Amino acid sequence: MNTQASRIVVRLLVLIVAAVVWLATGRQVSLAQSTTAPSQPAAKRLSRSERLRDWLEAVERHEPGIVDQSIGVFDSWRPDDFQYLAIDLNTLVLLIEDPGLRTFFFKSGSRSRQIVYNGSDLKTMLALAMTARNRIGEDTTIPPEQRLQKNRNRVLERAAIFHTDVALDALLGGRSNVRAPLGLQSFTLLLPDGRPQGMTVDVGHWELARSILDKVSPAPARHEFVRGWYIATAAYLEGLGQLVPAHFDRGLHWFPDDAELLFFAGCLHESLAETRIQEAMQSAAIPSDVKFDVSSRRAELRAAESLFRKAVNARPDLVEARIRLGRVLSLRGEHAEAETLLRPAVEDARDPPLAYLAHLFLASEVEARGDSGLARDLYAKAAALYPNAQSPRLALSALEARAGNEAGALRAMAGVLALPGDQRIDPWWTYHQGQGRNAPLQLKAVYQSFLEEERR
Amino acid sequence: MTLRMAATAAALSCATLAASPQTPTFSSRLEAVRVDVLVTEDGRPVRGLQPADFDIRDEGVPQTVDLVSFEQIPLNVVLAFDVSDSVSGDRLEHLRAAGRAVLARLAASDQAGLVSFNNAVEVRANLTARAKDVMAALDVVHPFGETALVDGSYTAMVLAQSGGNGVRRGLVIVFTDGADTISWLTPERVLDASRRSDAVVYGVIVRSRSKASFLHELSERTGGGIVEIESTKDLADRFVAVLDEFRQRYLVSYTPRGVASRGWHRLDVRIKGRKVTVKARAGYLSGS
Repeated sequence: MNTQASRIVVRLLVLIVAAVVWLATGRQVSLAQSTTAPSQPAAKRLSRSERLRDWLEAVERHEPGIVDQSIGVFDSWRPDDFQYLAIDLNTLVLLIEDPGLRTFFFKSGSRSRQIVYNGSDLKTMLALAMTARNRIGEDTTIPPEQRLQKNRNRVLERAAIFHTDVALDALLGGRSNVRAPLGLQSFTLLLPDGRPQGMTVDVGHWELARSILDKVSPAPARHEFVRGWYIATAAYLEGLGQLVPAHFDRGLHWFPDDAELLFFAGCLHESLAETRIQEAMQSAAIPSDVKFDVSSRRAELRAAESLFRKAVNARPDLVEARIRLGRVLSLRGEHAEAETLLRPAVEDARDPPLAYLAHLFLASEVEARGDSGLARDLYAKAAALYPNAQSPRLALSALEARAGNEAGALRAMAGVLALPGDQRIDPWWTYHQGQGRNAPLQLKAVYQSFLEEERR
Repeated sequence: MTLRMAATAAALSCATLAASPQTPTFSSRLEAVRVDVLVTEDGRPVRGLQPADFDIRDEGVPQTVDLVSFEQIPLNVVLAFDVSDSVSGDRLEHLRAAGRAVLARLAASDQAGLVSFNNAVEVRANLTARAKDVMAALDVVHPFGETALVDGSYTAMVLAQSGGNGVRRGLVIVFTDGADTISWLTPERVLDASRRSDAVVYGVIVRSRSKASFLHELSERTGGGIVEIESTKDLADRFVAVLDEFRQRYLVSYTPRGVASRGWHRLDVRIKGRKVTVKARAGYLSGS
């Protein structure tokens, strides 16, 4: 069985040319479902506590980062079952904390409602809670309160990992989720090559994972696993061209000063400002009760600038944030500051793709203010970093063309443009996904650290 | 717009002026300006116009037209095809057929080239008089990826100006079914570069929700046109119509007088004493 880490590499290469916007809204709307629910077996339907038990067993069985059989637990689920899962998971967490509890409330949005279980369901759920509660009960070196918290958080983290892997499997393997329940719908606007090609509706596994991590104690903001999870999944989603504002909103809610999250959120808004996204939002046929969280180009660029600035202030060594801030400033017409930022970034960028992009962006700035000589030099340096990349060659050619040098214009680009497209590597082509290049490793590290902690 | 080939002897220029309109020879002198002009009346090309019929104003200053050619100057035709992900199946077959239809109608003295673009811009055939080579290049195009429309259009413009001895007219036919999604070059920079180009750009666009404003502007500035289509079924006819229209354009030459030698020159082209439709580029850039 393949690991997610090895599979994403393949998918990244495919998706660099097919941007997909995934905007999870989770709104309660009615919309034609993209997939049909699998037919229910003739066998009797499981009770909700039995489904919770199956789910918990799958969570415990699941090997983080692996597409294993446990992921198939949802195959026979009906849409409503996911709704019950969200509710019953909440109950389970309450019971882990206080097994004597008999009155349960579930809060959804601003509404809170009481949940009543029959005796059989309650008994099963209590048994599940006790098992989870006592998992490391024998370790007397840990104070009881801390032990309880650890047990509770372990289940939640494992569950979040499980839903992350289910969501990634659907993304990477193209698996369609079962029909989505109201309230847990995730709407995906497909935009291959910038063309709106319909929407799909799936179960919001990312939403489930986020809501599960909201429950860790003492508070998600003080939890290193949650921070690492948000950073790694942000990188993963962006690396796959999935633009999910809700994911970043939640991450920044818990970690408003985290430089890496600020950086990824800045990248998200930079992408949302792109013409193809802006035009698609104007032209796509979107039901009136579904709202994608995309503002105007100007507002998105402003948001990106603000987030990148915060990221750079928090971590001045984050060269990638400085480069992107420089680009966004340029797009906003702040050319002098853009150049000031990009000049040192050209020297500081050690990673070849970053150095390449820094050279390109700085070259474009100096070209715009009329310094063709320096622009030529910078484009040439970018071309030297990636000899088969077309962008600096075209830029050099256009410099010659504008100077009236027709022969030079042709010469500057001829060599590279004669190469077959599949022999080219141009980091500009993956600019809007490139920030996620280390995502598989990042997520693997988060999972690894969870497993080490779990084994203790 | 201005001829930037190596200057040739003044004697050639004199000989040019003596030549008959039926066998024109255009000057390669640095100062000469050529303008591709389409003159139509009720949608039909107007034939038989002579230099004296043209009223050309360079920055508002009336110019003396030296020479007018109609259908005699060999062409550099560059096909610039969007081969992104969406151009597959029937659409790709229609595109290949349209390319072949244009190539089949070229004269022996004409040249053709092929540029394809998705993420990558590829010069699949440099300008050549061997149309078969270009047709063969068409056959190996496989669609995938995004749309570098701006990069591809720029490349085609440069290529159209590149090949052949003597004066040639550059025609670029850009086909796309979507808006740009990945180019490095910005529309502004390519439009700026087009001010120095003699190539005329026609855009053939499959109508979609995306705006193709760049291609509209590029064709407008180069004096070309836009053909918007609902389906690619009749693409070959559309391409051939573009070629035919281009062939029926006049190539008008004059030596600028009374205007600055450098910078942007606004052009205004009319036909004296006739209410006809005139399409020509908006101006040209001279000097470095």
